[in-house]
Amino acid sequence: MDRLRRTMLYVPGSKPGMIKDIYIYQPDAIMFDLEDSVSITEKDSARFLVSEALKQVDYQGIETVVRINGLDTEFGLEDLKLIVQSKPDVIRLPKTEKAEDVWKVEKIIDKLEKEYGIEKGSINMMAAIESAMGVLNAAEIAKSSKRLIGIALGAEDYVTNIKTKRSPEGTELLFARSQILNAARAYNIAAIDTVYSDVDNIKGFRREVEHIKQLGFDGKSIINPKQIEVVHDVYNPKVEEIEEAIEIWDTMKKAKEKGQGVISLRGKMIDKPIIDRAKRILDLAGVSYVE
Amino acid sequence: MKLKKRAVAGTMESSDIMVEVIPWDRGLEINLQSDVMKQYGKHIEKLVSEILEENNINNACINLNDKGALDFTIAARVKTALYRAGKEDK
Repeated sequence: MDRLRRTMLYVPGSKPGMIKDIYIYQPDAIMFDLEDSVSITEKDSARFLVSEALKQVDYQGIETVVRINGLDTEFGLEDLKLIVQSKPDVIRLPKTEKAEDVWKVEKIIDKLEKEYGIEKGSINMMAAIESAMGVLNAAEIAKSSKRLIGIALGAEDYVTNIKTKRSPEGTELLFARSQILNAARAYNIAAIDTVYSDVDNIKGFRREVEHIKQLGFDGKSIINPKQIEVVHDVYNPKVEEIEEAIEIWDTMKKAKEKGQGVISLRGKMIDKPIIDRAKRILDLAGVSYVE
Repeated sequence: MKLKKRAVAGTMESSDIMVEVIPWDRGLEINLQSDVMKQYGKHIEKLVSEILEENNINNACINLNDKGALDFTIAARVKTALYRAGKEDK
């Protein structure tokens, strides 16, 4: 079963009160931020807080992601040195523009895993794409490393870079979203959409979530726990969809057992895309199945 | 680890702890004020002592003002204060 990444909830790395009980909201992933939400003077303390939290707090199987500062800052390398020791599931790189950006961080993680006696390759990576150059290089970024489990759009920096601003319809993001989504699908990794900052506008938020789900995104980075329910509601399959998916899966299994080549259900042919879609519905519904 | 200067870390917000590290040559002194002194005072002092020992700190005055911080926060704030106290001024 594929891991769900519908919601990736940001928490500022400098706030112990938020870090300690963020898991009660049950997002699919928690993203501890050491970058933009942490002031320059608290970069060191946030690093220690996130590191100790990862070592001591039981996040109950929720995926833990740490967004580090870029290696082009004085903080990036220090972040990696401390955070790798605490073994988060994923390290998220900001402002990725080319494959080399991923390789540089990967090389350091390789070295640190060895130094700390952590199993090689156990820490995954994600890359945030936040510029025109990054969007153009999305495919080379997506295939750059075995550690890379996903790419994410960071829209605020991106729209500034392409000389516009965000609109409710998101017309200006259509190219970047499509490019990132296709790159992720071509290399079989996750595609995560950008944040929606107007937390009180639930209607507008729901519209955007429906839009990115239709485009094919796995999920969205979110900044407030109250956005979780909306995303999960949009992504949760309807009862009829689940029943149909179970029926398709069962039909496929039975046909396989009998050695039938062509599978049909109520006169309709069941081919690979239909089976793949059924599998995705079962994943989203949390239904277990035998491959 | 060698402490070079006075340093602080943490805040007075709920679930946090304010830590002050002052280097001196009179052994170790830990002064704790806490909202949960009766229940957790000894536990916090033990936790802080262990971190000082790990870092070979034998001479320092540590002032702690706890606002109900969990262990991970206490450890992080003490380690940050020690890290800052051990850094050279730029």
